[in-house]
Amino acid sequence: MIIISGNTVQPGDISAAYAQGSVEQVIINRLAASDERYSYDSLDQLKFELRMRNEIIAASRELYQSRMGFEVFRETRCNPMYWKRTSEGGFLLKDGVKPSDAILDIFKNSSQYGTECATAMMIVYYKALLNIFPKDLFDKTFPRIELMNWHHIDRLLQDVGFIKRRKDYLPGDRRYFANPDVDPLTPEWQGENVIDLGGGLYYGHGLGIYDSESIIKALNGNRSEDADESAHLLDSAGRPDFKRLFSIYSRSTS
Amino acid sequence: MNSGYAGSVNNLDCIRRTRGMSACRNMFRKLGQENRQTAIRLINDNSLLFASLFILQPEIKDFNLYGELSERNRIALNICEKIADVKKPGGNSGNSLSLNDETVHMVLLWMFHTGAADDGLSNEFDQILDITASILIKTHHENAILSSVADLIFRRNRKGAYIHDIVWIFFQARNAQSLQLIAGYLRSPVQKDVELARTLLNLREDIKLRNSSEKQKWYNEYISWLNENSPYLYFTGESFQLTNSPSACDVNLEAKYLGKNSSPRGPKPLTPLTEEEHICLNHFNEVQEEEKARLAEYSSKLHRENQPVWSQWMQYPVEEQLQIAKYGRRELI
Repeated sequence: MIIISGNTVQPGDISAAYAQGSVEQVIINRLAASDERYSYDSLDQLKFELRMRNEIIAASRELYQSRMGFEVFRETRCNPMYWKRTSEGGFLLKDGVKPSDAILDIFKNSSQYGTECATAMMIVYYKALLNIFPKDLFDKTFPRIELMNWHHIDRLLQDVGFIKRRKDYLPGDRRYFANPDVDPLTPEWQGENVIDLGGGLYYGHGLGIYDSESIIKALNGNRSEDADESAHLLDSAGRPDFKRLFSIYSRSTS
Repeated sequence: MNSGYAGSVNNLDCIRRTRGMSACRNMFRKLGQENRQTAIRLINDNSLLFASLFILQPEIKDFNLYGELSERNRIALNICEKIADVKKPGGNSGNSLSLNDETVHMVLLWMFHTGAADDGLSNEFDQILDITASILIKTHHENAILSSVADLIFRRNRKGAYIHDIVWIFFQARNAQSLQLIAGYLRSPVQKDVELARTLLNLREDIKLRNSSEKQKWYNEYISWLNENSPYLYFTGESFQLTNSPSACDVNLEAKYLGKNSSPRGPKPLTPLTEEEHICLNHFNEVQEEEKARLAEYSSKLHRENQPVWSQWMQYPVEEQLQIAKYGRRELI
């Protein structure tokens, strides 16, 4: 059920503004059909979430098409013009570099970068925001970026690190495929962070864009000899605080 | 930390540790050219530390010494090769070493015990240490290394080095002893240790751990909680790859309510439930989550303190059990 300013809204009232079968329409219909109450202060607040979810998916596809490699944290690499590689294998924004330029460089000079699936998720979120926020606002909002996994994460994006059970799962969610019986020789296959692209597809860095069955098959191919538990999609998701990000965005544009 | 292996210090280790890797390699290279038998004796010596064998791999290859190495050294180098192989694109070069083998187990123990003190030697070496621990814990269920692994985690953390894989491996033991070991670091004088212990035990942010009395207090509380709940704990498999606040374990409330040990792998009992237990659980699962926690806690306490009275309490309808758990009842006290 969608509630805007205290009033229940029918999906048709909102979805007409979006193309037939679009990600936004899928999300609107799923929210409206749910028992859960999805409350928004304004229509613009809901529209921001829809746009950001769409941009998360677009950024995922863009990163998938890039030449950024997969590397374990011990062997990550980045463009030293923009980033300093940390002792943990993360990327820290260099002094004097514009955050927006550094994020864009990952897509422009993608072959100079290599990292794990969790860092890729953080790159996706920053790129999605950069597609929405004007550059100046992005630079002002995220003056210090450290890309790794859910650690050293900007407070504004902290919620994507808290993965929890949801009533409904939506395109643009961060999900996780766990592989409990992973081969001890390859701990990097212990699980895969993915973005739900809608239509039953997921993007996971290093794997690509696949349905859940194919991702589970790939993970199961890296289990120990005596494995008895299959890889599986966890019943949980991580989401940014869309409302907080909207309030920053709307303040700057009003 | 000591090497875990007492005894005389090997010359190769001594030179490596006092004068560095290059000096050790140069000395071994010179020996290989001038006195092959001494080189073989030194490298096959029982007291040798794994790090020295690891750095001398190029010399062993150049002087074609592999055939003259001890079984321990040959297996250790095979393990290193196997680990390196799986990292290569396309994977397997045909190394057929079986990691389940008991001799391999012993060599893995030697590699980890004597290698952990040299952590930081190189990325490749540290990765081999991690995977050695991973095989020992996941394949051989070797809990004897947990204390050394905990030590390694906290040493790396103090240096700001990468810890996420080794933390994940540590909790793969699915053993309450892991939690006890981490809890010990709540009392550390090093604040970085304390903060990591707080994170790994998933303790609330508002818990104050500023001075030794606060640290001791929370350590005691945690150990008391652990003693009460360890039979009912299961390990979630959550890691830093998944979330910024992994919860390594959780309490299986059903198991706690029934007074039955939980499987460490998930929220299921260790042994099959009886018909009667199934019925009890059906009623238990009808109540709200917070009430389940209350029932489970009361049940476990009563079970510990007075089993006959607990058996009597378990016969009551669940609503009555809850009333007794909340307000007490004279005949049960």
